Amino acid sequence: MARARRHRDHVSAGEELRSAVQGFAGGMLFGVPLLYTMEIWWLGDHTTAPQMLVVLIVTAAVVFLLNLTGGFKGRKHAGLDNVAMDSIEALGIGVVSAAAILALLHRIGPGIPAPASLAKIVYEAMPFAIGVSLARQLLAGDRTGGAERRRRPRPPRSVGEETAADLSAAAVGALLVAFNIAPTDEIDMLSAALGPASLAAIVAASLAVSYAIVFAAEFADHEHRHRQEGLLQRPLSETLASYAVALGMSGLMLFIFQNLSAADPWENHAAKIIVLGLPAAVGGAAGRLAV
Amino acid sequence: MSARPLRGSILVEWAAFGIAALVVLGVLAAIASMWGTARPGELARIVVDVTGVEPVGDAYAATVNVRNVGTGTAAAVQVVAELEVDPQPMEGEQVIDILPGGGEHTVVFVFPSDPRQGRLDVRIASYQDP
Repeated sequence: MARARRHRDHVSAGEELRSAVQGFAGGMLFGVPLLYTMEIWWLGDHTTAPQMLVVLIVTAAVVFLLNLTGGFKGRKHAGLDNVAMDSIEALGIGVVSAAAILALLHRIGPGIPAPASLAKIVYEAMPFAIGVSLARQLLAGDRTGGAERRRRPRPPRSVGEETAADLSAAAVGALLVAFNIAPTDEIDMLSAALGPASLAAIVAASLAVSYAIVFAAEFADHEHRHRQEGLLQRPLSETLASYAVALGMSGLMLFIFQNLSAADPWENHAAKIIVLGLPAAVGGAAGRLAV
Repeated sequence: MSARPLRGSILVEWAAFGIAALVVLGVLAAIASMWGTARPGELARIVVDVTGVEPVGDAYAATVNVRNVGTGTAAAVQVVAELEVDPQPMEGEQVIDILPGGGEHTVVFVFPSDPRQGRLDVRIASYQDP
């Protein structure tokens, strides 16, 4: 069924939306670490229009090449016109995703000059658009046949075992993605600039992205996931539980890297954990796809 | 059976492509509109305003707004505040990492004496062209 769908030249509205969500998921996984890099924010402050155009052209070329060999819609026999269309779509998803997360982190928006905001979007859209094109390879294992491998019948596991496997995978995934970000100054800079409403928005976005990657994007094995039983095996409860694990791992990583000072008020600690919780939730969701 | 879904599918694909193309064209248009406004090497034009002084504990905090009203970007902006007050003048210094054209930043200088009782002079001493 899945194989037949990939061979088709045209996709339905549902598949189009699913491709976009899958692309967004891949973009988040590949792009989030660069979003937490202050050098990229600063680069945006002194980038000229010609430099931005060069970045956009290079991004488009890389995305085009990636779409030639698979791409985010998984077309096997696409003509160059379809590849070009998919590349523009990947670029569009990358631009919108990067802009949304930059706004969420207050790196663009009111008080920040438009040229600087635009340059930040252009630079951050690069890893996002590449992640969009690699979504299937990154999260569904298409290139290595991992998706097919995962569709094989697996030995039955108890609800407890399924829950433990998911939460462990969420913890490991959170660790893999957020470990490089936890010791950096970016966490302090971002958390210091964000008020309660912005932090609440980051919590909501973390949950939404985690849900989108595991359940809405319908990568490999999604039918099995929707069929799972047990309190923590339903989509919403699993998303909430995995986010709690991601926050716990964020706190642990910040503690290990001595980024949580005992002298600071708890509000500062909470803000840092929530800010690091976004990449941790993305990693946790990708980790759950792997089990 | 096959013609209708195919036509619908093509429409959906074109709609998705159209939205994405609009986004990318929007970015290109924004880049094009900036093309002539900022030139590399153009010097920043930085203005400073003391926006308020308030007592904080035993000291006084002077809030200073630093704005780059030009188009060039300034890095390592050195803001110096000199307070002429009896019995001896005081000086403070801040460095702003980066101040893009059109950008602004707020810095606070803390003095043991009330700056309103003397003459507070805040100026930009230096910056780097990134």
